[in-house]
Amino acid sequence: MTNDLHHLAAAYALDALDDTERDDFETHYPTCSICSQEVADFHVTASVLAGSAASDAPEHLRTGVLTAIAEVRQVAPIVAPNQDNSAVTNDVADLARHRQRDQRLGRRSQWLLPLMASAAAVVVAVLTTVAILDSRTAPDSFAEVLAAPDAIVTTVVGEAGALQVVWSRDQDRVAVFGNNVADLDPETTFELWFVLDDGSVAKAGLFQSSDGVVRKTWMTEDHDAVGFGVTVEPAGGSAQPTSDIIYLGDVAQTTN
Amino acid sequence: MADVRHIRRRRPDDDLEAVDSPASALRRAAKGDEAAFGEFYDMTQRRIFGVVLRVVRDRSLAEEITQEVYVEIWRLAPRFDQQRGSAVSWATTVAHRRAVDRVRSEQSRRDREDRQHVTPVVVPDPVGDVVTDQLDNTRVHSALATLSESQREAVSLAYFSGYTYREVAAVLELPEGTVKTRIRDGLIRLRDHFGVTP
Ligand SMILES: [Zn+2]
Repeated sequence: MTNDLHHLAAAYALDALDDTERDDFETHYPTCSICSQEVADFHVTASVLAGSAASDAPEHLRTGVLTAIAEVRQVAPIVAPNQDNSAVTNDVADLARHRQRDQRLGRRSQWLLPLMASAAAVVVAVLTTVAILDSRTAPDSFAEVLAAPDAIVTTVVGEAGALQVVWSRDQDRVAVFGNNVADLDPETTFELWFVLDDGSVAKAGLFQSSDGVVRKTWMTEDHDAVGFGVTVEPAGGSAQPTSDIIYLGDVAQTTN
Repeated sequence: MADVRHIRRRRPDDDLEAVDSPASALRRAAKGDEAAFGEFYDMTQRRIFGVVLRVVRDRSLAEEITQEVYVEIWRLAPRFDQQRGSAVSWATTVAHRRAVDRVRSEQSRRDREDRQHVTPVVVPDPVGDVVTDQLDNTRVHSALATLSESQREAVSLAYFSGYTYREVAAVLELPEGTVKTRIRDGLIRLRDHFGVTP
């Protein structure tokens, strides 16, 4: 029985369990480190799959949402006693109990505590090197690229959060910034790639984070990019990606 | 076709901190900042609305559910612990589950099946009719290419059709255990391909 439950994380994360199995599994997994890790990972995997179905919501929905939330009171935060891993498990179990109570009361919460279990023990930065890899970088160029009339801001998203890439083709300039980036060891660097229409990539430049913060701008070649991706490469960068893309985002279409 | 909503121009005097990730926007929203929630909405609406629409296959129902999802996320934002998970993944999970629950609770199973018989019941390619999200498409395509045909089929049916694995088994006329295994093996491969490790 319990043995069986251990194999349900994938189906659970795809919402492919029936109510009974779902309830059983939600009772089980917060207490099981293997299953809670799998649930967290598979939820992330599912959310990448979801991205392939992306479709713009109608404009009026944004207004509807913002109007609606103005009337909705937020729940109080849960105050965690400490931040170690045992507390994580306890929190989840706690939350699961809350949820079960909600259900007994007939207020079936749609919220998934489970996610908390997990995913991201944020990689703690060990060492930081800010490499000034491009001599054309200048502090003021940030403001310039942001102010460029044709600047497009692309959010590239990854497991560790997100970065913003600002791109001005008029200025042939790219700026990257982020606030919650896991710092790399000095032997490696982040490399930004233009993602082209045919799925290939072209070098866009290198950057580093320092204490999680990225602020970098530089000149680039011009490409018909449909997106940006980021990989981790050996110091000095690579001609083609040699590792998995860790941040990815599509460039918004512009009117011409 | 072009959509100007997604182009955000920043002025030099904008606070750089204001330009940030979904996680950061949600964190500010968790303190009652409605404008920050608007940013979070802008950064996530394509994925959220898209997956809901894919599951329910009805635009007006998808809009209704998407609004409910965002209201729920707003309500629960103070309890979302950014240290322990991705905000986008969380929101997507809430959305997908709500969409699936709605589809199951409404007695529209029959209708949906009818509609799905118009197109082939088996949907091996979950990205086929989406041309706008080339990046995710590229990424998901290459990931799906690492799955066997039967794994791909099982994962797609389970996720995008909102079927339980038992229903998937019935549709594919396979034993439940086989489908469960295919879903699991397929998802493990995708996970490994996407490099989803905390
Ligand atoms: Zn388990």
